[in-house]
Amino acid sequence: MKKLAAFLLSVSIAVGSAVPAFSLTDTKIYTDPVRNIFLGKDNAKSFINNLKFRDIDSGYWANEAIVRAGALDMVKGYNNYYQPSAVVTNQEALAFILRVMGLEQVAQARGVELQGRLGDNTVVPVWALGYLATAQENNLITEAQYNSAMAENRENIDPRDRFFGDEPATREQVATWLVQAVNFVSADTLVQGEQQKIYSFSDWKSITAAHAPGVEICTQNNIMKGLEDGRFNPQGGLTRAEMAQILSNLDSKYYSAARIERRYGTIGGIRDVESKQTGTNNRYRNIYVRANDGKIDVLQYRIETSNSPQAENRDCVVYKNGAVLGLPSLKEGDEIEYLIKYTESPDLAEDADKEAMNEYTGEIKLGEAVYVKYNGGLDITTVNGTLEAMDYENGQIHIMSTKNDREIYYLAEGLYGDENAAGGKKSTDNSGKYLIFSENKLYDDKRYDKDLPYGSSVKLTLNNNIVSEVTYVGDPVIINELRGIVTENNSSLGYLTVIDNKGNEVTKNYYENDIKVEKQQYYDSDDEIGYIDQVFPNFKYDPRDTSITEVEPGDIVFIRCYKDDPDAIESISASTNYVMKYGKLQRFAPNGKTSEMTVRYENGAVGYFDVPDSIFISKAGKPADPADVQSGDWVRILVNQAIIQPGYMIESVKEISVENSGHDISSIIKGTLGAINLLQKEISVQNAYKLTNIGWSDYSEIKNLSVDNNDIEYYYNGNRVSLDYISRYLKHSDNEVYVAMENNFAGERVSRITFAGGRDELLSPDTVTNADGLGNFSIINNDNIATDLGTIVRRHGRLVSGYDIMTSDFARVSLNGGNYAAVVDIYDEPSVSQLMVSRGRILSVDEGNSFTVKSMSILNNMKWVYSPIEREYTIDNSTVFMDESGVVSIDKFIDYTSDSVVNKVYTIISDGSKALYVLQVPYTKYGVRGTVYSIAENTVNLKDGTYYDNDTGMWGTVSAEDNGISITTTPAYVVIKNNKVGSLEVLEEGDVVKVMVNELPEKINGSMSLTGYVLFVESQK
Amino acid sequence: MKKLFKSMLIGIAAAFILSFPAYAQLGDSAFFGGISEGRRLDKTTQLKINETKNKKQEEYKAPYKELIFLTGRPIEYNGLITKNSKEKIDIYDKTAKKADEYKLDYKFEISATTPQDVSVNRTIKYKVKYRIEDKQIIKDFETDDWDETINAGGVTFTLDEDQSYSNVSVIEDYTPGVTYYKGNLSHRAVYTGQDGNTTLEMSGTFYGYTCAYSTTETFRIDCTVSNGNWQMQYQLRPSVSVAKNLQYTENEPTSISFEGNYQDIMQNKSGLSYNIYVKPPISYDIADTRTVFIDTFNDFEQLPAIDTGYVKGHFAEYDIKRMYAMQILTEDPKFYQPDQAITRGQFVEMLVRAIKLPVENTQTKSKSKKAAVNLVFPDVLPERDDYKYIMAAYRSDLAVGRSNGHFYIDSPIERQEAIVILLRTLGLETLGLEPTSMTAFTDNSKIASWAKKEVYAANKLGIVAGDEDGNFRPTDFVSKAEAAALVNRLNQYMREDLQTDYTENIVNYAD
Repeated sequence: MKKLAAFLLSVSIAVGSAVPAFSLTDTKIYTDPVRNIFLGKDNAKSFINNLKFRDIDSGYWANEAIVRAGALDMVKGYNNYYQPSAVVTNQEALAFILRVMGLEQVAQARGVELQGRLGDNTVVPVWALGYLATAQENNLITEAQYNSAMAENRENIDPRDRFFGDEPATREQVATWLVQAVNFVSADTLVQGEQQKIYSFSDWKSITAAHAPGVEICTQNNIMKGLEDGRFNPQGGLTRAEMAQILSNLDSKYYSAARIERRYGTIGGIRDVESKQTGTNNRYRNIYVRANDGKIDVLQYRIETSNSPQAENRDCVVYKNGAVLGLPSLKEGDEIEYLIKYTESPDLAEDADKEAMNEYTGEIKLGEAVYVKYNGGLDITTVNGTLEAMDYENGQIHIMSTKNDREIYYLAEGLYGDENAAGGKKSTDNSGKYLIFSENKLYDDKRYDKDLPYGSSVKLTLNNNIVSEVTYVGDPVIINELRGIVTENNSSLGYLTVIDNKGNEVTKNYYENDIKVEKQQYYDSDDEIGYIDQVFPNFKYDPRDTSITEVEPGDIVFIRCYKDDPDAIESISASTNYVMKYGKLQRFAPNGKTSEMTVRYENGAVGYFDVPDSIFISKAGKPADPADVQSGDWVRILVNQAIIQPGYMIESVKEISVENSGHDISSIIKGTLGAINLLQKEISVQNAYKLTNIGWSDYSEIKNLSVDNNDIEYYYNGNRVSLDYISRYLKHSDNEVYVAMENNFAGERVSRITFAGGRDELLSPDTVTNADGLGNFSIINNDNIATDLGTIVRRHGRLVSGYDIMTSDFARVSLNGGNYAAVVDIYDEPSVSQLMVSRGRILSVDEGNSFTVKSMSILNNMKWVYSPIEREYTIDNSTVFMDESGVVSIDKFIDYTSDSVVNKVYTIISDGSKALYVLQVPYTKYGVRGTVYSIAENTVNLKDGTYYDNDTGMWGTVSAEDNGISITTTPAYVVIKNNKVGSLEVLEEGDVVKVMVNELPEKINGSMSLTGYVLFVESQK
Repeated sequence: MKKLFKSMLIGIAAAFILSFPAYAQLGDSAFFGGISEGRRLDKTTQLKINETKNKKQEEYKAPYKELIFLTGRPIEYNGLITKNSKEKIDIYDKTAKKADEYKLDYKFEISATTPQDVSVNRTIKYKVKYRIEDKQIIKDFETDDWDETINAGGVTFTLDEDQSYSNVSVIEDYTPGVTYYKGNLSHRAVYTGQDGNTTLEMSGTFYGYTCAYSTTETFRIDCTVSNGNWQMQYQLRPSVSVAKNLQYTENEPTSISFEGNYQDIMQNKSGLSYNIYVKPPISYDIADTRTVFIDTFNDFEQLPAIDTGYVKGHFAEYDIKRMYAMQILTEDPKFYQPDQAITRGQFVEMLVRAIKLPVENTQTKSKSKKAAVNLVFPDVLPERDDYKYIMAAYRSDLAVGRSNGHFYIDSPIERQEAIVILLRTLGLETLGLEPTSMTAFTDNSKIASWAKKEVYAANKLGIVAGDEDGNFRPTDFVSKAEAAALVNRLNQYMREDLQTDYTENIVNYAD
């Protein structure tokens, strides 16, 4: 549990300070297990300071070699001066060589011992004593040479043994020593070929025979080089800078001797962590390095923040851009070389912080970072190829590149794994080995080895040559198809512009006559032919085959270009991108070949469209004309959306469907507001009247109305108010309230409620003589009627605004307060002018198609006008035939058998030559007229009854006391209203009806009962 | 080498107490073009006390209305529908033994009550076979038994079962917040009567959805009635819908410990529209279009009154208030900071509450019992209070971590991340184009490629719009107030917009 707590703590800190994961170039850097932690050295600070030599500027050629050798403690300076051009003496050279051999400590010990024996008074400097002795003991110098070096009197020395420590070391001597030193450490590391390299030096003859093998081996192994003039200068001396470079050249040969490992990697992320332990407070900077084998090392920089003066930092010499710096100078993305010394020092274990590391399974190895060299910034490249093989053991991926080279890369560790590896469960059905694909940024796609798409295209993203992401590109591409969304199609100039999947704008040319185009139209839900059409173009009618002009902005297209001309389109396949929108028409004005349409959507936004005549319009499920569409209609429109560029979208209408039911104002109610029931979402209107053809009628004391919808508009004196306002201020206020009710799929509901403070005055229906389009209008008897936002304007069933009132509309107006209209109801003026009623004697019948009458009379007003001309009427399924018993079938209307209709007289109601109704009814030469006041099943009662006097051609009053007339119908009758034929159902109270009857009683009196055959609705009161 | 998914042994035994709200409404009006009153949605209290209607055998009884056209004229009758269904499919339960449950039974009984001169007795029994495909269920209804006798217009029609067929097939799609379904039906009913056979053919499509705040089922059925003498063609568009509306009322007395509160008002709407396209001459006088409906009665429930006085007057006061009333926000309102950035964890928790996703209660039991808990996100530990919400979101595919497997639960959420996850609750990200390279926003280039589809879809749905410069500002952080507004918008969408789309937008347009 302790561990968990620490884990929690560190997570919360890490999340707080971490760079957001999205910006990481190596996304798995914090999740892959950490293999090694390399702490800085505790005395690194003094190293860093000592290596900032004042006599070496950042561009000095041996700078890196000196710093590297210095960091490894192979060279030292004097008081921040390195003296690079000083010549190296024999004893100095031996000191360097012994360090390489790992005998530094031995030499130091020998030095102390000798100093104790000999005292300070030797010709050899004290520091060199140990080196000389150790060199002799390891056969770098002979005993005689040692004695020569130690001799107080140099004159007696045999010249063959002459060797003085303070004389410059010769280059050939150093070469021999280096070879000895390296062989001492490890015998097989140096290449030893035939002697030939030295012959390339112009002064090879001057190389001492004894040193020749040494020079040969050093030059072969690139430890030493000749001079620029082609000489080796074997007897020449070396500067300290040259010596540092030579030691640096030894690199790996030396590192293995010194138990130093050289590693390379890229810094993937940096996290600062605070570790709170009792007493001290350590801050760590963990530098996560993706090593070249794909695994993760952490370079750990530590600051102890306790107040103790012994507080120690752990840091490391960092060579970056010529400067000597510490670990904090490293940044994410840096590519580095780092030298590591593994050690088991208990100090290190104590100082290291393992808790904050990523989850790890195995033991983390600890070590010390000795030297870090910055090799450059992050280099991200991608490689495309086909997946060839996976090497899970070594974490490598093998791909065949597009150039047909087999390439092998290391994978970042988190990209692959083996679930069955130590500790995991063995499963029989898969190997547990997997690779992770980055198919999209949100999810990792883990694929087990058996499912890996070997042979398919993959894309590798390399961070400094380590694979950080494997993307599945897909199976080999055979045809190059470009997918995009069209932004412009210019068929006159022959080019098409699309935005491709990557968001780039691509323009391609085409030749209108050559290009093959397929397009899925919105009304074709399926491509029934399919792709076979490409192979057999004449196989079958394919609705998808079309021309390039049908491709429009917003379409999604796949484009194929000519192989030899990648800029020209060979064929194209398109699909539409349409969206359905719902709204109310604010304006629909047919204007030549197009109609201007303004739609207000449910969210309040407004769309403007030009609707060409070719656009399909339907109403009640049937095709309709633009003339059938009117302002106030609710519509469903199919819209093509094309985003031309960010922030700029073009919409065009493809189809309009006018609402069939719903949203039409079914009734208008007047009354005073009663209760508001918010729970049941109801309001009640007291003393309610309904607007009918006879004015405000259908009185009820209380009417409950549902207000469950949220889009009800409430108005008070022309201002829009809320329901809360109403329930607070207008309840029981005795104000007139006008309510427009609309049809809804689940019953009537309120659409608009208007409160008005004045007195109600209902005007007779009349024709609008003048409307200014701003809500003001005049009817014949009333000028200057005004409307406001609250006015309920019903125009042909739809709720519209006062702006939509037009001259020649037929309107009933209810004023409230002066000339302000509370309600304007616009509907078709009753008329019967279009239908013709005639009576004729059948001459012949073309069964099911037409019939001809010998002669006929046409009803003109109340008189039958005889015409002796033959006339043909067409009939079809929709023609209704009736006799005394009711409707008969069209196949009974024949001119043979005993049922023959020839010579019989029929009353025909026709529209032009098309017979709508053919009735076998008596000769109806009389007429009565009245206003409907009640309707029963087959009886309609009229008041204000008058009758037509055939003799005088005048209308006479029935009776002053009781002017009612009752009309009953037989099964064969028709009602003609507004140029349509119907039954008694179309009659409304208030309709003024003219009835054709076959007889009138001698004495005309009130409450007479007649049989009516043809009823014309003339007008309404 | 398990890195992303790490098992930890911790002293918690997980007890799974899952309460799945039952909204099942499929076929509540049967499949014959009638409407029933509509089933009440579960109230919050019912859900809280675990009293759900999720029982194996369920009987649904409700007023019913239908139109009979067999005589050539529409005859309206009121009746009663009884639906017996056996259904228990939990699409999220991966352990259920599916083999036994691949069959369901549906039985409908419909009888007339008014008017006097009409009598209807219809009993139809379906055997339903289904299969589960990922997050979709496909159901096939097969007629098992069908008896029907209708008395109308003085004629008795008796179903000839041998010549009659009925076929219904449904696909249900489960998204975290909404279950959508679509079905097709096709019947051929042959009736014998005094004047010979009358055949009624119906074929149509129906759409429905259920979510915590509303549920709707709407049909569009094309019908043909024919006998030897005439033919009639019409379209029926029945729709049944139940939705909850949120309404605030202020209290009248001053001396009351809370100012006012919200109520959930549940409304049922059932309507049936028809269009007649071809009618026999004898019916020349009937109207082509009409709508009949069943009267509604609202049900309501009080919601907790939370004192949100600390945000009084804030831009998003009402959004925040609603969030508290619906208990989508539960933190102490005194410490609610509307201008603070909301974290990814907090936002997901709000969404999980908002769509009433079932949450698994983890309860600590005796310490001796140790169970391994699979850590899905290394940074979401079971000790956290919001663990169960993140897990609920994870189970329903609502929440996924970022690319390195962490959830970044305490990081602020970006606008684009919020929109992606918001759309996912409704499963409506499919409205976007794949891949979407361009959205209508001016700063399109700043929108991450993984978010473009959802942002496009959200714009299309009207859930987001650009600022005055047309920018979406995808990488801006979302404040708590903005989150409340977003979630409230989602809530409104589930309460109203979905319903409108499934009712008026279908019923009002003849096709």
